[in-house]
Amino acid sequence: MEDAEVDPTKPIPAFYCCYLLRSTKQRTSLYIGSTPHPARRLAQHNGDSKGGARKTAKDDKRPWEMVLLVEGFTSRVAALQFEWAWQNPKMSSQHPANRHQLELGAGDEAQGSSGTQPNAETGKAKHRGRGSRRSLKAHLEDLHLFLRSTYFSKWPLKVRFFNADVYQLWTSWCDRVDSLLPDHVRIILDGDCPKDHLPWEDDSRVQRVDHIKADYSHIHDYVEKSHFLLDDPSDLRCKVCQARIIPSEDLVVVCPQANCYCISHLLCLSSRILDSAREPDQLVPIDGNCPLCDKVIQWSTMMQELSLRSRGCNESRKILRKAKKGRGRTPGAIHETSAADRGSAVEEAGTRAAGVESSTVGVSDSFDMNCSDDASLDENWTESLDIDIEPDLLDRPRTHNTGTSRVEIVIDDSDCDEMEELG
Amino acid sequence: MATTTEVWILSSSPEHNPVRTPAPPAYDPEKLFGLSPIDTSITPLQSPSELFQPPTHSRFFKVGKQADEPGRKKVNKTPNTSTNDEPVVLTVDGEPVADKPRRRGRPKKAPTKAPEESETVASKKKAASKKSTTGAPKKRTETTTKRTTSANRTISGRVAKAGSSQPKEAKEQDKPPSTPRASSAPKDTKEALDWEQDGLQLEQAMTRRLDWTPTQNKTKRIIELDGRSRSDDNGSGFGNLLSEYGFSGTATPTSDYVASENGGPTKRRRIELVDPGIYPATKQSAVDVNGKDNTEDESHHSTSDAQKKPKKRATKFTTLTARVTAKYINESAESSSIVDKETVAIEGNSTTKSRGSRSKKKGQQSLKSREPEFVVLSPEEAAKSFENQELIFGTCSQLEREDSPATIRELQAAIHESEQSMVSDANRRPYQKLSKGTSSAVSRFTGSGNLWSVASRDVDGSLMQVEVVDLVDSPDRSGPVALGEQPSNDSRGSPIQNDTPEPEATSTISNDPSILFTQTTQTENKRAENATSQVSKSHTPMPQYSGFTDAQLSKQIAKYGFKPLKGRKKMIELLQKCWESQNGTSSGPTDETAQQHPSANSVSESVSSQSKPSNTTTGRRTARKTNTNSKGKPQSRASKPTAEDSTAVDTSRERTSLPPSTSLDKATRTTIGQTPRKTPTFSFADVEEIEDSEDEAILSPSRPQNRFLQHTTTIPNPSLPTSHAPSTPTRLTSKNISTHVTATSTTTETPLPLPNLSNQIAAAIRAQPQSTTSSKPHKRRIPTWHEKILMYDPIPLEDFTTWLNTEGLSLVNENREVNAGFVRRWCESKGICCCYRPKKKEN
Repeated sequence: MEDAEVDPTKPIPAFYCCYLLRSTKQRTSLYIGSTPHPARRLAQHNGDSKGGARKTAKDDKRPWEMVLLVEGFTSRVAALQFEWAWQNPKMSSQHPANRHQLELGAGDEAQGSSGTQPNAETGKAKHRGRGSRRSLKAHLEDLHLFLRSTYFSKWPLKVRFFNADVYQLWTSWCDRVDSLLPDHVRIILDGDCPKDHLPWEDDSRVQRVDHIKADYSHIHDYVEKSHFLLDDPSDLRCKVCQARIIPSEDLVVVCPQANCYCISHLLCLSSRILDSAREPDQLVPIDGNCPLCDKVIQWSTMMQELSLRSRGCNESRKILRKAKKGRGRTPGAIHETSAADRGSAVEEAGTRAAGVESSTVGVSDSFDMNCSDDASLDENWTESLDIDIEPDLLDRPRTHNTGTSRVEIVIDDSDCDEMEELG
Repeated sequence: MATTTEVWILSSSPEHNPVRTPAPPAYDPEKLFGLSPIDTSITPLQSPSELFQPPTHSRFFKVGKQADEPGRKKVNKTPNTSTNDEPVVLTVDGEPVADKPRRRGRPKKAPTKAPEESETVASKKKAASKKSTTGAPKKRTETTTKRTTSANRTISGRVAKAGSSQPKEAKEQDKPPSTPRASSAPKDTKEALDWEQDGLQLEQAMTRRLDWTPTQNKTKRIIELDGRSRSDDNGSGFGNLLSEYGFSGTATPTSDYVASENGGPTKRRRIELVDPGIYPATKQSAVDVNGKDNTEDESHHSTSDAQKKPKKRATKFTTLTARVTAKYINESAESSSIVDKETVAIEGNSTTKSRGSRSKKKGQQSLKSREPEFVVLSPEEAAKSFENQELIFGTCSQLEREDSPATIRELQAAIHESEQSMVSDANRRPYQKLSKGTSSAVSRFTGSGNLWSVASRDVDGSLMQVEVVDLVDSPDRSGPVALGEQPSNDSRGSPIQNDTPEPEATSTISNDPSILFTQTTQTENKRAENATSQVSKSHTPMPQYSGFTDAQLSKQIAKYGFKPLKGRKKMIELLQKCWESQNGTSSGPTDETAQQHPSANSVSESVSSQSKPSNTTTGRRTARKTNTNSKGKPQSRASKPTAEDSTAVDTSRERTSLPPSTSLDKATRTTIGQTPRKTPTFSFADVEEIEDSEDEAILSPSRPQNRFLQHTTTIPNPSLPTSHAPSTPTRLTSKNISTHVTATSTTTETPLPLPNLSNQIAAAIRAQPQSTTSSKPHKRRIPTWHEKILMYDPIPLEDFTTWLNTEGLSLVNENREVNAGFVRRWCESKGICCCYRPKKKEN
């Protein structure tokens, strides 16, 4: 059953983030949510498209702005867990204040589940109307704290600020807190934030939420490269263990560096990186040096590619095709009827979502359809795993304005949206 | 109210005094009905003259009356007694009530009771009056002083109460206290007074009932009151009441008094007063009572005990169990002295019987000595004693652990001793051994570590500390086995005496080294030949339960701590399982049976043989399985997996209680570590039955086979990681959490430290073999857990936990199990995204 449900999961989402939403009219109104597609989600909150959370529906607070993104979640579950923790810091087991309780109630499942698990039913019942109207500062403090927590600190997360004032608040808090964020957690100053000297800043700045690429486009080249690299029938050998690699059977990792042709077994590379990092206790590396080109490679990026290659055959195929054909496609996705390999409902959602991105969608090709919108894939992917599955997702009438090229309805990004409006 | 009634019963309790028996029934209902209503209605009837007089005498209130009494008896008494008495009256709720009914009822009973009551009264009075009484001088003085102090206290508080409580006569009452002694009036007035007092008291009692708190002196006073009232009856009604009231001069019938006291409190009282030794303060007062009433030696005895007590307390921890059980020791053995030395009780056990008879003789005396227990402490004293007492709350097992840090040393010593004792004592009957072993064991373990021993009981209800001792110290595998081996090993050559013919011998299947071999007994006759030939190496064979009579079987079962089962077959089955679990399935019985019944056991046999070399886990698992699957009671017992030590799931041990399980584990561990010597050659017994072999055959194969396959890594089928989960009976559920917890805790304590469980998990993940795909060509093989984790897959905790418990941990020779909560914490500590499966899916 695991085989059926878990393993053929979707690849790691191209993008998944938790965001802090702030009303531009009432600056104290805050909202925490998560989404694989911030631009789309922001449009929902602002009423430009359907599906926004109720709490953000009041006109006197619209428009909203995303002042802060926490991105880099490797699964929807992860994002939801973080979101939940951020929304309910008092109850999260990751919160140090609650940590000891969890330890004491060792193995108490019920208690444990309350921690990182946004349990749909109980969670709602418990927290509804409980929205602690916390200040921006409090949220930033919580964020800082969670980024330092045992659980989340090992995730490849990045924090992106869009507003200078928020960032200022953040830095002031960082100065006051005596502990630092883990090194790998990057702070990206974006929007109107002052340019910082951070090395990774330039290439990652997008200026606006709309410009965040919520698809796999940033690894297209990588995917393509690895595809061709592994397509080579000749002898492939792991650069770590030197054993022969069978791409169809083994899980093979390819160096994301464009000009590096290092391939290696998943396990080999991970253990090598961990060993070199002297963290044998850890199981998942965050980043490390490529054994061949010795450049720093992000584990999450490689995993994204690997999962895309090994699981999202459709997506990767699409990417490859796209690479061949170039980007020229006729915009305007139209009604999609062909049965996709994924659930039909999912597809539908995908089609709908596709419009937002204004990326091209193949008319009759399900693959194309899927590949065009990565966001939909994300949601599909998590569907099997996610704890709180939106009933909407399944119940949504299929005929719903699929014909329009632009997105009308988008799936709620998280369950907690409705109940959690802050400020 | 309850207290009141009890108090009343105390003083007048019929049970001990046959003479009095008629009285109580009459009182009770009246008491119950209504305190106040009866008063009004009844009092007037009794003595018309009294009615008129009250107003005048009412002023004197109690004080006047009491003053009179002391004055009559001894002049010097007066100040103290009066003060004493006052509080008495006030404090005791029940008095007035009791008095009223009595008066009405008195006339009938009067003749018989009168003398006795008067006597008791006298005794009471004695107690109250310091100097008048001859007996137990010094104690009494103490008490009296105490009393006075307490009395003073109460007095101060009382005035207000009295005023408030008594609406009608408030005026009268308020005034009188000032003029108590001056009016040592004629009898008439006294009678009137008495009546008045009663009435007043009653009302007071009513109000006071709300905020009543027990005072120290209560018991005595109550008695006094009783005596008073009865004395009234005895004489010609109220007129004589006061005149006759007082020390009659007759020797205090200690027996009567005591008896009444003792019988009175009945069950409830006893429960409250657990261990006199714990309340040193109480003791003294108690002693006082004793001193007066009882023979001198008794009082001294108790006092000495009391004095000893505190010292001991200081050093020893007292567990609730000890406190509770102390009583029972008391009953069987002599009274208070033994009680006090509960910890020492183990030793006392042997003497118990002899003393038992004695205690019967003494009967009353022991009762007397116990009497003090019923004294209720004043709040202050209670608080004081509470502060003084050294109580530690916790399970006994915990306490035990803490107290015995040198477990290993003890254990070794125990083993050694057991070996020796075995050799020497082999011929004895188990019970004798038991007692003897006990004593020796006791000497070893007298330490507070043996608290559990206090609670353990024989089938007969007598104490058997032996078992407990075993738990900790005996080699876990099985007593009998060790027994059998050791002599041979020692080359002392004395063959184990399997020949104790009596089934009863088998009875005490305790782990105690001394008793270890008891089980072997029954089959002896049959296998005598075999035994002799193979004795040197013999494992004790499983007794042939089928040959037992039903009675014997039930007895045996009882000895394992089970309730008797109905079916003979079931009983046999159960016994076999018990025996097996005690002796260790993996070693002896399996092989034995296997050899005898190759066909039936072949599977299990092979399994065990295969699994054994690789590691012991399999064997244990099988054992556990069998236990789990056994029917009826054993199942429930066995199904709580005692952590990792499934082999040694010793039913008898389990029976003793779960807490010991920790010690059990420990024992297991140590033995495992220590005893590689077990390379047994098994002796055949004429066992014709297939013991449990069926179960094993059915149940065990799956896992062992799996294991085997895994080891060889020839898994034909691309086994999904979780594929085994459904098949395995021991699927991890939340229920196992507790087990797990205990397991871990145990682990920490274990002398041979086990690797950290979380490290084991990591190791297990890394050790998971990569499954090779075959079936579905174009589909990728299922990634291992390690790969999943590396690829940021959210780890479904249920599946992962299942895998760990079924396969993963066994890959790293880890017998412990983990629960989902633990796994979750582990994942989070590693930053591995994990989640529970959505509940929807599980539908």
